[in-house]
Amino acid sequence: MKHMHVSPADLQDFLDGNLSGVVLRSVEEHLDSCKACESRFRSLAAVDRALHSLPQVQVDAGFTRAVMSRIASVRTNPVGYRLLENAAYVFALALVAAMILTVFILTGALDQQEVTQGQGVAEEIIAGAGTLAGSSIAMFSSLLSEYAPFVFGSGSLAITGSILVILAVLAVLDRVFARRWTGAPTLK
Amino acid sequence: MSLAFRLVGSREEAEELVQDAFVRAFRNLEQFRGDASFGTWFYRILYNVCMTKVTRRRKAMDSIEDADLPLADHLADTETPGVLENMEQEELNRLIATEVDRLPSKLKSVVLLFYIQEMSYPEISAVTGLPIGTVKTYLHRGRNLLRKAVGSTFSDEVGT
Repeated sequence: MKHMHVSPADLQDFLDGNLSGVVLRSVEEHLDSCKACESRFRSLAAVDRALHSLPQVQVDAGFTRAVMSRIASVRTNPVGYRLLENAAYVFALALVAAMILTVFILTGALDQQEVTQGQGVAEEIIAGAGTLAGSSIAMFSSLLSEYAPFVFGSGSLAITGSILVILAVLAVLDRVFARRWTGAPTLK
Repeated sequence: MSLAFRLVGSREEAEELVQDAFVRAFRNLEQFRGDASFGTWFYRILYNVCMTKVTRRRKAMDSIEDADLPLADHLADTETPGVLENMEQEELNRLIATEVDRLPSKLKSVVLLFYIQEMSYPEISAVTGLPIGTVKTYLHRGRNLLRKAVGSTFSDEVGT
């Protein structure tokens, strides 16, 4: 070590305090006797000092209040927030729903003729789930099969497409109104 | 806050991301198992939130930032002792603060976690999900790029 220069990696390790034992002592001895390595070490140390002195950024006075406000909003409506916060989450739900529905159609659990009509499936969904979703799906599947018959000509595709359309609308609404729903204040 | 600000480059965005991280931490508190310190766990959330933002922005801007990484592989240990030695520490601090913002985001995040948050290699590994060896490599590349950038910038300024 006395005659060979210290490698940049060893110099940096020395600076970081990662050396110990014999290696540490040999580097120390070499730096005491080699002006070139000592100069390189001082350069490394100067860059290190500059990195350590990078300016810290402080948060605004209202930051804590803003965080607590958002957390309070999540606390009061955790399920809704989780559902509506993330568009990807909603799309995943849409895909799963569409796949389940397709399986029902392909296995004949749903009447194919009624499926072709669009309305029939919606009625079955309404009967089964008793929700607003059925009538929405019926409306969208009718629209899709009427205005885009080349894509949504078959009933199953029309229904799958309508579910995706509905959930895409929800996802867009989520992105537009998420900030309001979660109660996060507008930052200045 | 400093980490988020340096990663995204905007104070307003940084504040919003830190808020997001707090909300996510609150919502997923039951997932904190105590394997790591709470601080490390929180920084992992913040890091993920910030990197998602940075990645989305990079895709939107069609940046070539990732293409810069292989170039860094070929960088030899950059030595500009003569240049840095003649530089005032204050001037060096200013140049480093500028050049850190220009680092590729993966290198920048490791450099910031090491120097601003003063984390150890294992802690940085836990936050970023990178193996410890990769953390060391990124830190090494980041320092090299900074030294090279500062050296050339300073030479240019002195030369003009």
